[in-house]
Amino acid sequence: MEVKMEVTFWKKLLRVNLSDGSVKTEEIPEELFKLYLGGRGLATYYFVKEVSPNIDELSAENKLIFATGPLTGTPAPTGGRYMVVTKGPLTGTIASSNSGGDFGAELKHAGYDMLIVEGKSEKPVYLAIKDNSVEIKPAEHLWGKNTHETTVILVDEFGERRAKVACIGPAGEKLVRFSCVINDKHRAAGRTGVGAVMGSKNLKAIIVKGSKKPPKISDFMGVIKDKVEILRKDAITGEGLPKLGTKVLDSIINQNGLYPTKNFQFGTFDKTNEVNGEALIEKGYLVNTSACYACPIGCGRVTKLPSGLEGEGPEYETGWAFGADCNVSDLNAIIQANFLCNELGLDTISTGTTIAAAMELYEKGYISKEELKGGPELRFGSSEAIVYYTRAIGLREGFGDKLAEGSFRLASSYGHPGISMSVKKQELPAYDPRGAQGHGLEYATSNRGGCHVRGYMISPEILGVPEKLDTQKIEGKAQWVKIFQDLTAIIDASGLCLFSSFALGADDYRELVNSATGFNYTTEDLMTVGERIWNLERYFNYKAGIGPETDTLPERLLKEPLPDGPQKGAVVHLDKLLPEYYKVRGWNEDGTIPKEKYKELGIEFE
Amino acid sequence: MNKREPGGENFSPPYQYKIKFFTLFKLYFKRDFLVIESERAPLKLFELIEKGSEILGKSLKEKLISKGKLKRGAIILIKGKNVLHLKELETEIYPEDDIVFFPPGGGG
Repeated sequence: MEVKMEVTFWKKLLRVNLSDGSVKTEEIPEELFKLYLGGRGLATYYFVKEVSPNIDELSAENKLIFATGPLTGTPAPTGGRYMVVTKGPLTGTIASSNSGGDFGAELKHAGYDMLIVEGKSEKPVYLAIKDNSVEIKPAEHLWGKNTHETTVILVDEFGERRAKVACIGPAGEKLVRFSCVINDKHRAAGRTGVGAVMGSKNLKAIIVKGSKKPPKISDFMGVIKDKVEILRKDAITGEGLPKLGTKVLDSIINQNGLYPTKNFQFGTFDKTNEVNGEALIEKGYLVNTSACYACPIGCGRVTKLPSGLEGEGPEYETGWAFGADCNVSDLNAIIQANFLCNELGLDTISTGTTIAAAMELYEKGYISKEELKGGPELRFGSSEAIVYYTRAIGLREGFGDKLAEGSFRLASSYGHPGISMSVKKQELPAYDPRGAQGHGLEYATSNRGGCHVRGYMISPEILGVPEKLDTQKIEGKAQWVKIFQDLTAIIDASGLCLFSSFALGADDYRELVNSATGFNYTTEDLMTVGERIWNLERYFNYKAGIGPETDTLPERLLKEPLPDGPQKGAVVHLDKLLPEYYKVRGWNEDGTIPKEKYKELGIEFE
Repeated sequence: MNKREPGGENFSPPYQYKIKFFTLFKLYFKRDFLVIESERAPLKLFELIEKGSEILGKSLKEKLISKGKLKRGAIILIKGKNVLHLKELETEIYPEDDIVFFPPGGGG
């Protein structure tokens, strides 16, 4: 008699078509899990298979996939992550956004590895999922509500206090190109504009409650115990992140001279002490910490303003985008802007950095005062401006309507696209790549546009984890970037948080995945899964007309030497890094992927 | 005589070394910096850490050094340069140097 092995995934997807109201479940072949693992990998496979690369991102033809990994919803440390995969309205690339909290775990507990949303509803709706019961319900009463209000109303209507909600705010409804999906009130699938795709489908929210947890396989539980111990003992995941959250980084990055200031015009911010993680505590804003599902790290910051407003954040990236990048040192205003982003459903990085680009355009005289339609002047350092225009963007009011298109379209409309600090039209995060060559290569080659979490080279180049690399050295960086990109794809596919990688390595992930799935991957096999995901994403982009010519950086970062700080004089040497990267990836010299590479990876589309 | 050397025009004993603290060091030691005085200059980095630990307690050393080496993830910058690219714990520190200590930290 064949003994059926227990695994931590269901092999089941839920497909909802909002155009015709149909709901069905489908079996996912186990072979696909072996090839793509889950989460970002499996969702990318289905997306590329089912969606034409040339569709309009905001049309009914686009699909929106919510995907968990085999470790999501299990006790594996940080196993609360899910991915949102679609074609992004900010970049036109494959959009792939990750979030924590509890929503992903709950979707898994409802019995689904993945949810595919298709078509477009004529009127606002929300999706109510309780195990096998799936309903498309009217949401006119929720339209216009912010993400907090929506969450509270829906949980009340649903009648299950422990139900979890992912929703959009007014920004997603109004198709702001960098609007996000917010789950559990404070967690965001933040980047690439996935909220606008949800809004374009008139899908306001998804509420889910599940009753079945993945099996607690004996070997798996043993591995989990070991990995939790590693995370708890590690100085970063066991102490730095729990104590100071991601804002532990402000001073580290500033002192190393790659803390972008005034829209990347400088590499150090002289008021960092006013806005860093230490200030968040010393000034009394921090009232508690929080943790996502099954997370032993607990990096979340619960903050409260003197006005009584309470919420989560700011994270490092958020604090920087509204702070140093806009030359603002008013932590109160930064926190207000952060809360607004969460409530309106905006990506904090793109919101802050688009305002920073607008400040440079304004100060250089390209944007006139009249165009601001009564809004405050877009001066660097204006705390009033960051709060005002964040709201204006989310509601597409006044000049905010123009800002809602993102910095690239904004700067291009004035004839100065070089003022947009973006890659593939997505704004860069909080590290000036002139101060870390490998990180510059990672930005330039990210499949979803300017992004730090596709291969976080800051870890080896600045933080010295797993080992310290010279920031300005070119040799060997391409290989490091490839390894980090492929490993990150695996972490995203498995359903774990990238922060676990400060303490865990590829072998640890292999042990976790194997004991949960029974796949018996070698570490090399697992890295090949990551490589497969990476190449498939790039394949989609290429077919969508976004080819190797977009593997570049804003001219400022390539030609204007950093004017200050310890990395003064540095530019990114992409001309040297990129050819080596293509070679390491096994691609053609022009950056296209050869047929042999697709064949080697088992990518069937070519 | 080089002005960086003991007895140079700008420096004479006792020499003062100012170490800037950020992140957890700032919170744990409740100070932004520590000034260490010594009759000697330069000092090796490990000597500076030893002297700092004599003032603040052994936790300073424990968070920076493990098995005779800088701890993984600990960051010490001398004039903006990470000592891992200099001579690590043997790096010579001069009184006028910009010295920054971070315990291991990461985020993103």
